[in-house]
Amino acid sequence: MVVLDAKNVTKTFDGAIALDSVSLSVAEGEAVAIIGPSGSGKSTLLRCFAQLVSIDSGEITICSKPMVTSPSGKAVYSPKDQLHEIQLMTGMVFQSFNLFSHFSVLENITNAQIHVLKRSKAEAEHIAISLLDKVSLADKANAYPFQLSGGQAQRVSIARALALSPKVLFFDEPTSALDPELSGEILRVIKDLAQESRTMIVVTHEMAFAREISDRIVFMEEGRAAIEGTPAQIFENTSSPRLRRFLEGMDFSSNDKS
Amino acid sequence: MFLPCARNWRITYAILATAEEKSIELCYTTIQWQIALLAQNIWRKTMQKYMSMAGPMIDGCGKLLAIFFLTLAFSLPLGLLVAFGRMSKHKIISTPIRIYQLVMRGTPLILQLMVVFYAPSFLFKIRPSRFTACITAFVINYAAYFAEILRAGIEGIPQGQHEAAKALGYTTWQKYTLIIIPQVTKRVLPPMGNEFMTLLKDTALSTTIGIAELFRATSNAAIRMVSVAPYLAAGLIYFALNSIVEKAFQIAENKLGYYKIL
Repeated sequence: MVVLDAKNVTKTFDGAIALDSVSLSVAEGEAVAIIGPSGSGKSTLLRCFAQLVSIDSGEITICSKPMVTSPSGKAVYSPKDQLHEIQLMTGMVFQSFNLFSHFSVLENITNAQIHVLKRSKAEAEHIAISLLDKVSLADKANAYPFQLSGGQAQRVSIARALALSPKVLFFDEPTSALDPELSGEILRVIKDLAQESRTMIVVTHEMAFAREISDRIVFMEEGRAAIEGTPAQIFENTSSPRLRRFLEGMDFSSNDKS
Repeated sequence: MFLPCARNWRITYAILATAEEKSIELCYTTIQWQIALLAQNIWRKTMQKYMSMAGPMIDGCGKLLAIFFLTLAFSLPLGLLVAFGRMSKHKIISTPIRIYQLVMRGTPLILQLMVVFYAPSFLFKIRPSRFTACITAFVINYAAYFAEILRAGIEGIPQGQHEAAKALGYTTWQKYTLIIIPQVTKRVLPPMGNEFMTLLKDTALSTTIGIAELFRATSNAAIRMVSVAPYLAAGLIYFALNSIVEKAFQIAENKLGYYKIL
């Protein structure tokens, strides 16, 4: 089953092309990594999928529900309630965590469950605690975001996204804001999720990690999905000088961490 | 025979002494009474003098507090509305609101009070009550200031909080009531404390349209008593009330001190 299907997604910011007719299809249980140089449109693509950025033209369908179509070349978004329904099928983990400062760790994970999914407080807390266990932060349930390290905050934000049981998870450079020694704990959590066959799209600069967890890698460049293939195909690709140059420029020393 | 005689004398003396004591006592009591009456008289006169000043001043405090709390009750929600209007992407909404704020912040409140009170009778032959006019002027003036404080607070919340709320499926209303406004509250407490304390003192301006608030009562008392004592008392009252406001803000800040905005 196809969880996410995007066709010819195009986006410009004040005339500058951010996404140039990008197509991507992600099957259930698949982990897709998006790599590429800065400014290549990786994050923008993810933000379009998460409805944080609206596209100019193209089609995005999530779990067979159309989010946006372009019958006449211009993007037409679905009605608000359907967009909300689709929103709940997607989960987003941000580079800068974006935990709610005024909520404790536990409240960060329960609040949306209670107010968005209308779960009972007891049920929400039960789910939150088991998720905190999973990211090994059960002892931080009553801490506040300012008391957490970057790595801990990012694990909480992953638990927060998971709590709403999304069909597909988006990771937008989840380790870029972290010290190298802290990114390992995040990569481990994401690896566990990949092993549980969760559907996910990960934008990352950690090449070794991308290679290890993903079923498929998309190399983006100048707003286009330039090359797509299995990790082996991407990392052993010799036909594209751009990809070679990009991979050679990346730091592989993160290999031993993840 | 001697003994009974002596005994008689002693008895006589005892009787006499008692009588004398009694009369002295009586004498003292009378003086005491007179002094007491005199003191009471002075006390009553002084109290009357001061009470005649205190009565209107206490009423004035009541008016002061009524203006203070009613202004807050209306101008805070209105200020929030104005803040959102000011942040609107549509110029047709944000521009008139900017002009309204410019007028409110750019002209003296004392003048606005007079316009709100006198203008309706010139323009529409309607005479608003002094108190209604007073509250209206304070509310529209303070809402303009509160709006700027709230706007700064709202715009100071990182974009990431909005994005996270959206990604988690909160509706816009939920996002603001559950995520944004609670954090804004913490942010705006110090500048709000400023405005609250200024408002408490600004209530004195309502004397210009004849509201019998504390300052009006004080001036009247000072004139009648030919004394600056009422002004001193009024100063102490304003100071005491603002000390309470300051303490309330300190408590609120401590209450919200359990987290830090990241």
